[in-house]
Amino acid sequence: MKHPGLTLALTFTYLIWLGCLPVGQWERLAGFALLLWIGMLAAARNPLRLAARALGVTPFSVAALPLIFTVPGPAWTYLAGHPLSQPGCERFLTILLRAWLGAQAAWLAVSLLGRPRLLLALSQLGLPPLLLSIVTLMMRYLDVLHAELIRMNRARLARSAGDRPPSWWWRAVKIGQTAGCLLVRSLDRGDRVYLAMKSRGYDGRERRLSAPARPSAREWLLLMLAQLAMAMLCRPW
Amino acid sequence: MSLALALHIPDGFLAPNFCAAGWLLAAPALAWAAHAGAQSPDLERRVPTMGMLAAFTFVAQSLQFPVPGGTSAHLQGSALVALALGPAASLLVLTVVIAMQALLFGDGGLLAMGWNVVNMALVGAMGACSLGWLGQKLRLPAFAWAFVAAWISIELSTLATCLELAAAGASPLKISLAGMLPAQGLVGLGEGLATAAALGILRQRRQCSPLSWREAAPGWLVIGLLLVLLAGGLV
Repeated sequence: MKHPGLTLALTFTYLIWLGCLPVGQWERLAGFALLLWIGMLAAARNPLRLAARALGVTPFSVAALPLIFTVPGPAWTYLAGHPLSQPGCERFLTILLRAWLGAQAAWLAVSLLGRPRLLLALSQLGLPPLLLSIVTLMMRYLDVLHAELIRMNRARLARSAGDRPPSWWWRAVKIGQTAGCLLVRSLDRGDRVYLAMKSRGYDGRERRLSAPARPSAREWLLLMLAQLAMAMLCRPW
Repeated sequence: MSLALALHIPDGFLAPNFCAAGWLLAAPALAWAAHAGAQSPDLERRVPTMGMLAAFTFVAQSLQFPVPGGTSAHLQGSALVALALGPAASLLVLTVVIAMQALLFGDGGLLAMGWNVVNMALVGAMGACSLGWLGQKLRLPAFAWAFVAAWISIELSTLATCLELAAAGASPLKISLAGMLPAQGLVGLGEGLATAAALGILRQRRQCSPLSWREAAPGWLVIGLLLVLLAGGLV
């Protein structure tokens, strides 16, 4: 899949089908995982690496942990005297696995597209021009501001030597002052960038050198086949 | 466990039709913000500023501050951007930031992004603007109202997240409230101090106009709605 818009569309539809999957259908969930990992292998990405990176979403799943106690149903096992309900455990595990697979799918899309083509994909999926301009500028200046912040942090650390650790509120205020300085510098830089753009003929519109390539029939076919496979796996009806 | 991740809902938690409801809530707000942006006479001048502030918010979120009790959390920046830019522009900036966090770092899901925008941009930023306006009306010192606005806006975002998780059947309301509100309240202390300090620097160096009732009104609507839903959910 080379076309940026279709790649992102495929990712979104994968997430939608995955979300439609009923709770506790482990074979179908495995089928979805298999589809994703085949896709990764076809795109020459290492499934193990992406799967390990996607484990980063698991801390949020703690929010769903109470389900294993609160969903009514037969007790599956006992933890320190508290019954763990079986439907609750199934629901929690389904949520955990869906979040894990969803994060892998999103990362596969980003790794396939890369930053510049991600912007193209967003515009092909109909992102409003105003938001697209903000995203484009943000991507361009992300690394610049990050480098600025690293310099500021280094300078602050160099200035604040002391023989005892400062209190948490003092540190929070200092972090805030760093953020404030960076905010002022970002606004100043925004003004300078605007003047530089204006002097080069900027009138508020984005322009492209050439129209992006249209998706080929093969890519449409691939998208449709993937939908068919996911629909067969999901079968919400 | 990182407390910071607790507000970005990943995919898989909420059913697709529930995610669609989040988008349906976020879309009109974004359309209003884009319309307000397009109406402003200096739109072409504001676009580079908004892009730069989106990059700023993204970068500022890598700043870690200590939380009383031993852990640390990252700056969220929604209250800071909202108090510096006003609700409409900050809604656009924060939406872009949330979208890019989901796309580039897997922080929050793609389908669940509608709800993440509602929680952090709509509730967090607009709530901060309303509380900031109230603080200005009451003639509180600038440090005090910025602190309170940022602190309460974090709690409002957390409240919205808990209500959504409860409505989606992913987490019971009372348990998630009891678990998340105090934890985020501690995080909010640091966030409030940092936001107030950052705004102090901004006000020293640049002209800042006070918040108007028109900017504060949508936030009061959102806060009122949240409290009604909370009362309905608890009873």
